[in-house]
Amino acid sequence: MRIDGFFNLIKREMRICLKNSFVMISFSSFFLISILIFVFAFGSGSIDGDKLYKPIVWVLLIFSLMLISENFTNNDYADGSLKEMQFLGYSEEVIILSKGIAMWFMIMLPTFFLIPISSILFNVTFTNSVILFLNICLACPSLILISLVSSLFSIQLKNNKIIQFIIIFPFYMPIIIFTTSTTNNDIDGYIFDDNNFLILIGIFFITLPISLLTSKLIMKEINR
Amino acid sequence: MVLEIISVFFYRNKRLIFDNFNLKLKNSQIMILIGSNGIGKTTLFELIVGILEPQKGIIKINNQLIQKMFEKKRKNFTYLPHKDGLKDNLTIIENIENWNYLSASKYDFVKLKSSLDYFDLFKIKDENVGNLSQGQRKKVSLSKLILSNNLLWLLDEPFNGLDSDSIIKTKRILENHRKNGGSVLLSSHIDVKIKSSRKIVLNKLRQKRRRDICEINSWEEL
Repeated sequence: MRIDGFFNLIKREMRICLKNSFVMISFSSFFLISILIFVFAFGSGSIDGDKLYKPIVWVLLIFSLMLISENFTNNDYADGSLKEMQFLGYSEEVIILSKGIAMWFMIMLPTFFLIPISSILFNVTFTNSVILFLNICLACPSLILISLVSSLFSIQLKNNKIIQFIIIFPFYMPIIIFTTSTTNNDIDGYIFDDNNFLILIGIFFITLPISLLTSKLIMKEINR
Repeated sequence: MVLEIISVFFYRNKRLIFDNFNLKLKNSQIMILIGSNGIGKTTLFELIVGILEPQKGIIKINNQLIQKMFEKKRKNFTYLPHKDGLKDNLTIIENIENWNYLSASKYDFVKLKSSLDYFDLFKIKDENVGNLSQGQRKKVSLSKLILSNNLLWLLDEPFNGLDSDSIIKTKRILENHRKNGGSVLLSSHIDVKIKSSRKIVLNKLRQKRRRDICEINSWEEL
């Protein structure tokens, strides 16, 4: 596969994403409204912001990822462009990788603004929100790849969301464990522990080949 | 030989679709596949372009095995599937540009303009594809053919949803392509008449065996 073909795919995905503002708006509004619900539910004064904030953000992030990932695969499947890319000679791995990169940009762009806003609502310190943002930057590629696999599963399973969720959910667990454990170290007053960051990078390098291979197999199965 | 299908056997969803299927398409030839709905016309195209793999048999395009062509595919044939692959939220011109990038064709605005003009689409080029009628969508899809430099065109139901004027225009493109040395394999569930084309009728498999193809006469004149 020539590199210009890969860039053409990324260009295509970015163009579709930027034109389809619904993806970014639905991600941002889901995230912000859910954060606001938590703020109002906890009430004022009694929030242990630092302790609750980050797990809440991660849960919301996973749900919003699952929500928007379907726009990247289901629409392409429905209008025939997923097959179009395949018969034009693009490998399944490259198709998924380009979608993952486009999705990463679509998530990180609003997150860059959403994290500071929600940090203010939860009275979280600036350092902690920066660490959280770095965590999201590092963990999102793995989460995105898993959610893309999950959305391909949903096509294969004829949109059976429950089975899709049950199959995919355990794969989110290691990422959640290591992202929140960075948080705990920080809260308990430990010096910033960068081992978890390295583990997150390690998880990404494990997730990358496995998810690309799985996606390829699912896409072949969908065509069959 | 531009396209060769040799002894293809294909089985899908507990159903035998092709058994010892053979087809040869030469240069400067238009071949029309005729068959009722669900007979396997789209499946045949998907086998040819390598989305599906036959359990037995060989498919070659320009003497190369389709399974080994990879990115060379986009330089060897242009396939317009039944599902058009157009994005509703993109404009006509954006959709065509996207296809142009993916098919690695050289971007040429003059050619793009003339391709859209041919189907009277240039004046609505900034309209979102989601707002177009089924026939207009088909015309957007067919305008890709004018941009294509490939000699082999594979068209799945190209006349679906088109009005009579557009059908004539499409036939004219196909005939010009044939005159310039190109080959076309197209499918239709209705009987279409194109000058100097050859017709192939796909029949249903009866019980275990099936008559694979039954050639009718070739059309010399409309």
